Amino acid sequence: MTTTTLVRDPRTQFGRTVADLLGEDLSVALVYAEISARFFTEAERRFPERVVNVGIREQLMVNVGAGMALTGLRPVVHSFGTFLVERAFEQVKLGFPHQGVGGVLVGGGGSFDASRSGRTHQATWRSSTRFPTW
Amino acid sequence: VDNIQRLLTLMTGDEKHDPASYSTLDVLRVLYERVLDVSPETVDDPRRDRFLLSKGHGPMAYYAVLCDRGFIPESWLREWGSFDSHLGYHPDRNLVPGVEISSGSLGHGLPLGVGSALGLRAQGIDSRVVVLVGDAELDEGSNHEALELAPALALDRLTAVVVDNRSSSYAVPGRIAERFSTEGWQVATVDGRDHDALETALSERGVGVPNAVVVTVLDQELAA
Repeated sequence: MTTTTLVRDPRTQFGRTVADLLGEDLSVALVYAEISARFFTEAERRFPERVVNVGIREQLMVNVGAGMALTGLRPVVHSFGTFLVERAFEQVKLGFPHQGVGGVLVGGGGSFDASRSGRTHQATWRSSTRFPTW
Repeated sequence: VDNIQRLLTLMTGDEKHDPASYSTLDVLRVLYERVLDVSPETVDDPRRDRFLLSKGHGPMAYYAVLCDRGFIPESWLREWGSFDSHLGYHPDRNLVPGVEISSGSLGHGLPLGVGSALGLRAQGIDSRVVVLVGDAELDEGSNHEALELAPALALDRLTAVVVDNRSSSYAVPGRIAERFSTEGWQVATVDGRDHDALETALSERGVGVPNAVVVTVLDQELAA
């Protein structure tokens, strides 16, 4: 039952999926900013060169992912949705579509999921964000 | 007349040059002529050295150097900034061969450079990443996130070139070098007009730490 409970938790599953992807494809990298660190211990142990924790620095996190993409990697960039997109909005806009490179931005706690955590941890505008490809 | 001066004049239309463009000219020349391992033939080679112009405003010197080195045709310079031109007031990597990042908004180049250095290291590629920022650009807090992380991750392939023409409103003499040094970077301060000193400083790579080269340029000299 314990195992079932863990797998049903999306952040636990995300950590496992990312570790699998890192193992399958040498171009995949993971960039995060402290958030969810406990779900990435396995990925970090197995692939230390392609898993980077930048500390509590979300602007840097997004641009580190973009910089990796400029060298041909496919970064997965993760934090809570509000810090990933709303705080680092220009980094997302200029780091990825404006440079013409791709990545996978994974926000945790979308919309009102973090209901008990308050406004600071809710990403109420995230789901309606669209970035043009120009 | 020096070829680069001639190329600059194709864009500026006369002998006067705006300081934002001109302050970077000497360091750009030294980088492309003597330091960086990149050429028109290797712009897509994964093993090329990367030069990231973070301070994307006033790019005439950059365009002139890229043209002089054969990355872009001279005909592009005459039409720069016009409707159909590849050369805008801020460089676009998707339009200009040899341009590594599209810049203009300040404070993005150094963080992108940290990411590029990590990406190259992860792939076992020993290329350098050289990022040019302005002294006033360091006002942007995003730079300081990068400034702290690069030495923590021992990114010794990364070089920050700070062109210091005292354009920051709250400049404190010597603070830029001290800041980088405090965070663990190897730091050199050089006269921005001395090509041999620039070559020596820019050819350095720290061992286990990134290096910063503070290039001092005085606009009064530039106007002379």
